[in-house]
Parts: sequence; C-alpha cells; structure tokens
Amino acid sequence: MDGGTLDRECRVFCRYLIGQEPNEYVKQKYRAAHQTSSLRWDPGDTAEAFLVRVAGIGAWSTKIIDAYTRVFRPFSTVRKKLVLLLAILESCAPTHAYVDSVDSNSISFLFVRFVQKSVTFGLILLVGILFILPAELILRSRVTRITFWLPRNG
Amino acid sequence: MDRVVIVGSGASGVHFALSLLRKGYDVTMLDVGRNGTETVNGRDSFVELKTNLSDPAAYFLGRDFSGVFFPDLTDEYYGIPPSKSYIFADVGGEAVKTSGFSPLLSFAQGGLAQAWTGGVYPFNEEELVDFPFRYHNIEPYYNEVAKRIGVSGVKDDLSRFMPVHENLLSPLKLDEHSTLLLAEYAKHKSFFNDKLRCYFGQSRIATLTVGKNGRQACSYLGRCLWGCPTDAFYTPSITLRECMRFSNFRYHKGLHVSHFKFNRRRQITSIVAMPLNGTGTQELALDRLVLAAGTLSSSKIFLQSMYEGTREIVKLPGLMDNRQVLIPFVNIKMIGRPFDPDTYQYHQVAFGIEGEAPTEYLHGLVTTLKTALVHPIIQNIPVDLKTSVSLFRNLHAALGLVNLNFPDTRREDNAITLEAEQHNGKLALFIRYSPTLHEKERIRNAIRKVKQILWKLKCIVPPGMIHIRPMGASVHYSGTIPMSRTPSAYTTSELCQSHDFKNLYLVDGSTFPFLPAKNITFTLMANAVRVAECAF
Repeated sequence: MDGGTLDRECRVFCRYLIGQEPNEYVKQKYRAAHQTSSLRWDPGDTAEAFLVRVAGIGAWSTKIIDAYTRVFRPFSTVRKKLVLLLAILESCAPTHAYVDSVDSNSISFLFVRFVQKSVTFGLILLVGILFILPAELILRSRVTRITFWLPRNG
Repeated sequence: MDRVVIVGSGASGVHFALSLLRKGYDVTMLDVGRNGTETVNGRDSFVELKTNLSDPAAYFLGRDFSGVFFPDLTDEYYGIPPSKSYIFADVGGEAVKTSGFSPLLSFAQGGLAQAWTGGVYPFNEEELVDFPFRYHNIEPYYNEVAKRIGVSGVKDDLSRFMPVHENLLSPLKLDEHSTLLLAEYAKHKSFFNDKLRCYFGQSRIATLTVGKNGRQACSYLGRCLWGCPTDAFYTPSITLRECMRFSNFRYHKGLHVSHFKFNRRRQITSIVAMPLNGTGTQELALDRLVLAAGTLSSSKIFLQSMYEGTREIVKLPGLMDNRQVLIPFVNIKMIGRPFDPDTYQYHQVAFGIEGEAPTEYLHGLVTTLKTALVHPIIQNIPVDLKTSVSLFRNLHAALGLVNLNFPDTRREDNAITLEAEQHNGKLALFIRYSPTLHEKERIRNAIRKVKQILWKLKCIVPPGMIHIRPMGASVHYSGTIPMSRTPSAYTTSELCQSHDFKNLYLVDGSTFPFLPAKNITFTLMANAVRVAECAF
C-alpha cells in the first residue's frame, strides 16, 4: 500500500474513531507501522482486501465493517488496523485527551447513551449482515472455485 | 576468606550479596545481565510524556510497535511495556519444553522482580509450618529488608494474615477509587468479616513515601508500569548498584552459566559459563557457590551439573506456582468520573479470604485502572471499536481488576527434568505441571465468593470477562530443591545448604517447601539475608 492510500485510510479511521483529523505525527506512525516487517498487513485473500477497501471509503462504511468484523471476523486485517490507530491515538497528544476524557458524570445520561449506542450497533450490524456478508461469501466462493479449477502443477 | 560466587542478580542474589559484602567477603556475581534503556524525561508525569516526548508512540508502543496488542495475538497478555521488554528477552539456545506450564524466564539485570508490582507480604507462622524454621527466625531479616528497600504500609485488618514487621513507612496516598472501596468495606465490615470471612486493607508496597539513600519519595507521576524514573519504586537493580560500590564485589555480566563441576567428594570446584558473545566457555574456580538465578534457572544449572558429572538425568519434583484468576469489575459509584493519572499505579488495596485451614488462605490484589494502555482492554468489549471507545471513556475510572492468588503445595508429578531434543539430541529443560483434581471446583467457589465481595462493594463483574491464567503466569516458581529437616537427595538444610554438595547454597524460591497465596519476593529477599547472616 502506498503512502497516499495509507494517509487517506488513517484520516478516515481517525475521524471514525475519535471524530478528529489526524495530525502529521499520527499519519507518520500509521505509515511506519505498515512498513514494519514484523507486522503482517497483507490482507490474506480477496475478501479481506474487500473489507479493508470498503472500510476506507468513509466513516459510515468503517462503522459497518467495524461492527461486522467485531462479530464475524474478529482477527481481520481491518480490525488490526483500527486497533493500531487507536494505540497510536492514545499514546500521543492531543488525541489522547479524547480517549482519557468523560462525556458526563450523570449515570442516567450515560445509561441512556449506552442503550442508544448498543441499539445503533445492533442496527449497523444488521446492515453488515445484509450487505457485507453476502458480498464476502460471493468473494470467498469465487476464490474457492478459481482455486478448484486451476490446473495443478506437474 | 572463601571465594564466593553468586549466580544471578535477582531479588535473592543482590540481597545475599549485600549482606556478604558488608561482612567483608570477596563476592563475584555472574549474570547474563540484560539491560533496559535509560529513563526518559525524569520529571514528567505519564500524561506529560505524551506531549513532551518527541516520539511518544515509540516510548509507549515500541519502535517496532511490539507494544501494540493486536486482536489476533493469542499469547497471555502481561502488559509489559517496551521499556521493560528487556526483562523477558531470552538468550539463544535455552530450549524449554513444557506440559501444563507456561514459564517466564528472565535474564535481566535485577531478574524477574524488575517487572514486579511491589507487593510486600511476609509469610506468617502457619504458612511457615513446612519450613524448617519458625517466624521468629526470619523476622529480623524481614525487618532488615524492609529497611533496605523501603516498604510503605499500615497496620490494618490485613495484618491478621501479614505479620507487621519493623521499618514500615507511612502508607502511599490512595487514589479515589481505592479510597471508595475501603470506605465501602468499612461500612459493611462485620458482614465481610463474619459472613464472607474476608478482610480488606491497604497493600504493603515496596515504594518510598520519604526520601532514602539518594532515592526520592514517590512523586505520583503515574509511571510505575513504565519504569519509575525516581527509583521510589524498589527494584533489585537498586541494590545491585549499592553492591557495586564495594571494592570486594566483582560483577561479570554477559555470562550464561551452564553448570558447575565437582570432584569425587562432591565438592564443587568451578563453574562453567558461556559468554553471550560466543567466545567459547569460561571456567571460574570457587570455594562456595550460591545459586540465586531463580527456581527454573537454578534447577537447570543443578540438573545440567548432575548430568555433566554423573551422566545421570535427575528429576526434581515439587514445582509450585500460584494459580491466578483475573476478575475485572466496574464500580457503579465511579461511573462517569474522570480518572486521575497522577497516582500510584499498581494495587493499593488487597484482601484476604480465610480458608478452612490457614494454608488455604486466598489473597486478592485490587488494582484500579489508571494509566495502563487501554487499547488491549477496549478491543475486548463486544461492540464495534468506536462504541467501545465511547463506553470505555466513561467507565475508565470505574474499572478495576482483582488478581486472586491461590496457594500451591509440592506434588511429585509437578517436576523439572532434562530431556533430549529430537532434532539435535541436546538436553532441554522439561517442565511438567498438572493441577490437583479439585482445582476447578476450588476456583469456581473462589470466584463465586469474590463476586459476592464485589457486589457488596457496589461493583459488578461483566459477564464472560473472568480469566483463569495459565500455570506459570504468576512467576512465583518454587519448591524444586526444598529445605528439609531430614537430609535427603535434592534437598537443602535449614540454611539452604545443599545436601548433595556441601559448598552449594540455593537462596531463591527453589528451596521453599510451601507456597502460600502471596507474592514471595519479600520472603525471597529476607530468606537470602537470613542465609547470608547465619551460614557465612
């Protein structure tokens, strides 16, 4: 993946996670992590690559892919990328301030917020099941079929 | 005077060395001695580091991002930051095979206690019942070690399980969450004591609350986990530095000890070590050898020496370790409050649960969440990451973790031996461990009780989050060459003198005949001082 694509991905994921634009330092660390040889970033197959591509379109598509992968593909590359970015954001200023702050000290407000967010998560997950799951299944079955018809060496 | 060689610079080794040096002995210490990096920005708090460091992510996550805990990692998470990763860096060629045990070995200067959490809990009379000495025999050395390292604490309800020794410093300032937990305990004290047989108190901690010997008092920078920059938090490397000030002390690092040589009268004559730079082997003559490399490494040296000298592969039974169960909780009263990063970071509160017998005592360490990295926790919340971040921010100050410790006893099947590797025929350390038949039931009952305790403290345990750690995770290894009242093979005397080799002493956990549910580091240090004072 080239630097421009990674920067764009970083921007989309950062807006999604904390609602802020990443600064140059965050983008540079995000790129550096993708160049670290001990970490494997190559999406294993076409379906993985599809999830990464869709997640990188915008904050809403990231949300759908994030909810979907949390349940169905917890070890996917896209989740790995989101966790990496979160780790970078919590490690440096000014973004750590967002992770370290609270919304309100009213338990009832927080409870309502929690219920609202949980319902949203459920709905988004449903969208993921309706659109992403079939697409992923098609891509996977194609890969299987192509692999099946490929002539064997020797 | 005798030429004394000590292997290992961990908690036992350095305190043993210091006592001998003060008595005028010539002491040579052999050590692999892996080092960490220099302390950065010594006056900055945890939060200030994120602003003031030029590359904060490199400090918190590592230059190679090895400190990021990715979702596909299945290893046990120890939360060891990059600044402390040297503690578990291995030495090439040290093969270890295991069954039912996940060991952690350290070749660091200062040993495993460079990564300890500072809990100081002396054994009581009942817990010493299998030891060939009584509490009053070790008490003066608890006092001495407390003076050397600095222990803060207070006499409270926990003292019924932990004798109060001398030289106790005033306690550390509690964080808001820990204060709240103790206040709730005080409110329902009779219920906790009478119904649940549970007693709370402040943790006794190896951290200074007043300056001492060039070390500053704790300034609450919130950097305990990352490496205390002021040395207020005690680690054995502090005592090693003190040893180095003696002219009769020689410290040889970069040496991985393989075995000792002995003559027909079973007198150890020399020790053989491999330099890490690969320049052959080095042999050092000695009069008395002291193994303080930690239970697993000392046992390996002992086994290898027996093999080199007799071609016999010996089995050392009785390996022990504390089973640990991690129980996360949410304190309802703390939800929505901001967390305070400028506090002491490890456990500040502890509790004890009485068992049917005094040796069945369970010990719980209560750590309230402050400045640990949060992405390893957030990713486990069963919703998408954005929602998890949002939830976590409001729960941060309310989160805590009980680390419940179980005792262990010596059993024949839990053993260390050597076994030939299939691919090259080289001898590898083989560790085998299996729990008791009733362990599942014991853990289940204990978890139920802790949930009751937490509920009474107005804390809830999120479903599905309890984690039973694998054996080996507590790193309180002990019991392979125990102290014994009656001389027999592969045991030691009351003063940790080997019954197999008269000029060999073992001063680490390998000589413990019983393992209570407590951090053993303080007792390791006290026992090492006891041996140095009484046997030399």
